Amino acid sequence: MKTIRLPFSAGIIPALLLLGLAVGGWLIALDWERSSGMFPRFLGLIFIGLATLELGIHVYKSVFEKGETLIDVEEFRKQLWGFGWLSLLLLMIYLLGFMVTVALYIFLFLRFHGRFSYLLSTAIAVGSVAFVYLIFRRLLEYSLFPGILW
Amino acid sequence: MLESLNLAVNFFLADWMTIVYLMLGVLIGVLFGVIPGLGGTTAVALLLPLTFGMQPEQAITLMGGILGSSAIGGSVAAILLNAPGTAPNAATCFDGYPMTRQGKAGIAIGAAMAASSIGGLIGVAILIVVLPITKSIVLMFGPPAFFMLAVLGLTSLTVASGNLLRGLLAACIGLMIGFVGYDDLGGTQRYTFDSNFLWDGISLVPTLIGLFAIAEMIKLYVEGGAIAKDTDPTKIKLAGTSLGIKSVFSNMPTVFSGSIIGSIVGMVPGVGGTVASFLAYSFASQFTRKNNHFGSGDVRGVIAPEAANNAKDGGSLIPTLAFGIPGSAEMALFLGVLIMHGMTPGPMLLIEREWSIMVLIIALALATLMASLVVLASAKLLVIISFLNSAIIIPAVLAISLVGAYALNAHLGDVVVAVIFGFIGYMMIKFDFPRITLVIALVLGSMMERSFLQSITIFRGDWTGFFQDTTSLIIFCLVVLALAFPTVHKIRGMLAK
Amino acid sequence: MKLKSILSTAVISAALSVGAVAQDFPDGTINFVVPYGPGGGFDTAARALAPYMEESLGPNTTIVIQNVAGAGGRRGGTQVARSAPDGYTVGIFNLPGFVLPEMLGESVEYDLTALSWIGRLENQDYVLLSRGSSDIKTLDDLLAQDDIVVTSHGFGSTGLAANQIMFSVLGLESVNPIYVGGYSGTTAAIVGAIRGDGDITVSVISTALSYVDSGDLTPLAVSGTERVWDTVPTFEEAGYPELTPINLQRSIAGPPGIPQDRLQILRDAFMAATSNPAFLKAAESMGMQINVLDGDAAGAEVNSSFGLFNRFRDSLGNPN
Repeated sequence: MKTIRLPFSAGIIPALLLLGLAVGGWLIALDWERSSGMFPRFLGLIFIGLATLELGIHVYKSVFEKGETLIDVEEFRKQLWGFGWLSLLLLMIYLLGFMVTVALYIFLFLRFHGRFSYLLSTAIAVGSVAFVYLIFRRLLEYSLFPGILW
Repeated sequence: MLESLNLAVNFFLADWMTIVYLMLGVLIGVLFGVIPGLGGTTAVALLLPLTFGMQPEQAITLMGGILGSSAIGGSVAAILLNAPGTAPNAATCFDGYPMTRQGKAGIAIGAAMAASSIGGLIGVAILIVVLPITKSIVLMFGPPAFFMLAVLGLTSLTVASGNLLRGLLAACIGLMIGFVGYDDLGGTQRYTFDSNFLWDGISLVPTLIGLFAIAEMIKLYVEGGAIAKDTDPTKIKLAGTSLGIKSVFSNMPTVFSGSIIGSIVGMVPGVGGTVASFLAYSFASQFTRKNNHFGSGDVRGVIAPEAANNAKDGGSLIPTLAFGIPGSAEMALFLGVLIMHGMTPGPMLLIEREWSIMVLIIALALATLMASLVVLASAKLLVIISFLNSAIIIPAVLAISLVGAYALNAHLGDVVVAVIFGFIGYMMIKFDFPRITLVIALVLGSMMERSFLQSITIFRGDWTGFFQDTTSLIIFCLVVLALAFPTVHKIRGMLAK
Repeated sequence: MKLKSILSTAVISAALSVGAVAQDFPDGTINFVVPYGPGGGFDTAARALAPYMEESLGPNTTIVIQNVAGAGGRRGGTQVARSAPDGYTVGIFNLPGFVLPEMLGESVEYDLTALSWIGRLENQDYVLLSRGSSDIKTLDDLLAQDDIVVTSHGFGSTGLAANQIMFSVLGLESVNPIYVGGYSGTTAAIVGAIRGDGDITVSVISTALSYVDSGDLTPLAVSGTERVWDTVPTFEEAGYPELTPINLQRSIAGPPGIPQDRLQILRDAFMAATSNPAFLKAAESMGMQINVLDGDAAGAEVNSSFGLFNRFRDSLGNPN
């Protein structure tokens, strides 16, 4: 089990992101007129305060309590792959449309990740797209996004 | 009123086609409810044109069938896949999904069905009882009351979540997301970056799909295996649904509290259903003393929200029938169906077409029961899903929920939103930030801001008006209680040590 | 004799074949875009009309309704305006709803006046309303008030714009009325007035009917040329004829540049459908206010709408 050791408490990462979001949101809201800007500005200040507090807590943990992050390389790899598969799905929907994507994506996933046989992968993929087709095109006469390539 | 009830019952018995329509509505409602992103609203929208040739009361029966059964279908997805089929099912995920992971999916489903049926009936009963005074009830809730209600929802939920700071931060994110879009009060575009899509803001349903369904699928991908961690094949045989049903009857107080919260909060137009189920969950989790393991598979955590999200159907009909203000998105469409068949929503509807309304109420009550039976009958099949290899589940759930996200508004942007929130949701799981609080803040944020600004305008700047409006004052007291109770609880706990 | 019959057959078949060529359009599916969600007034109007237009267009045509909601109607409107002008896409439009954004200084991606107008379906007049339980029973009562609170859907809504124009002409702007916005729709604003959040609201007549019948609202004056309630005057009768043309129209149009022959076929089908007694009966039961204008007249209405709102542009600012 290979692990990477980072010398800071893991909570710093989300805290930083949130602080950035809070500051950004607040700055943008400064331009707005009174009634539109009131709540966002008020929230912005509270948000910045809370995020700073969270950041402070984790910085304290890192510095004074020797907080550290252990990243399991194996898990991290899987996470990246997971993100990859998800992004692929989005890309496929955009390019190829829903019908093709449902069939193709399920097939690809079953074959390459699940290591199912070609036959089983195809069968399940076809079954799924048939399900979607029946409900949307036949029952509801609702046309799903066709993809920009066609 | 008894006369209309009589007429309505006779209508059902007169033509067997009516029951057929009801069954059709139920089946479609359950199916659409199960698929995350679709749900009662989409089902009603897509079936609207088909009702054109029908007799009005048959159209009502069909729609009633859908409305009463979509939350039941939704609970199945929430329990098995941690993917709320409809927004009000989100709270069911908290204990329903852990139960599935423990191999107890059947029990959860059984409990959800029984709780939904009883909750639905209680909701309908409350509706019938208050039918004569619906107008006064709706008039009691003005902008000040809505504001206090939003505050109540936010405080009770934030206080209930584990890590207070992280809960507050999640709420902040949710509130900020809620600000995105065109603000028609101030006339400004907020955080839209000139995008036409963001003009309408970020929709709740794609966000829910992303945060819960997609994030959970990423997690499943990384972990591997099946949803149920312990894949003992004998567990498939005993579906366990009867155990689930029994547990409902031994927890009637939870059912009642959930139903009552559902009926009352369900009245609030727009946010009713989602907030009702969260509040019911939160209330049950706070006030259950015996063996409280909410959040890790406590069946009462399924009972409370499920009772609420079916009782809300009765509640959301109150403003709909009293004044023609839709209590929820499905109600808005349902009003469209009424208009199409020559019935004008408004205060005269109850007076002129009382028996048609009775038909709807009966349809709702029956639909809840029928839907539960349908699900129970297919329980074994459904439970098998939780034992399937994740390689089949993951792509199927991902693909179909994105179809659901798209079908809402035929906008690819919703699909992108769902995927983005899928990433965010997974990060939130990993860094231990509560997703529920984000969702509730998103749902309540705009109502809170809007009713606050409206109230201030009505009070001409005098904010003591919040305490002069009776309903508002009562709800404010509830807010104080909601804050006080857990604090007192914690202090007691500390003193005991 | 034989020559004559051969000749007449030839002529007839020639005529038929010309007719057949012209009948190449429409052949297939026509997309009818509704820029709002399902179940609303525009959606039900389109769905009521579609089958009858389908009938008039012949057996080879189907009309499919497509809901494209978003951005207050602009998403659907833009989609229609940008679609190919081949006559296979039409949409239902809201006047003055689609005129307002430009008046309020927002950028619009299409030119309403350039669309190929097919016809106007409905025309609804507005009514100025007060809460039934208030002391304001007539227009004169309203004019005597020095403190007025109005409920409305909010900035950008046609109801608010109509209200602002009415107050401008009635001379009530000097009273500095308070506008409570943010309600989710006309109905919610009406209930707000009934509840007492405000005293005055504006709505199209069909929506208000139920509330007037129940006594929750009192009508003060109506736009248009005819009285709806016996005791309630039109603005014209009350001495404010500038307010007569305030109305809500639902018209059908296609993208700019549809070829004239195809546009004519669509227009003819529209006129045929809207004079079909079966359609009129269905429309009446749904509370639609059918008031048909042909394509050119409908297009002219767009211009008058712009003109009307342009005149009162200064009154249309955000009151909050």
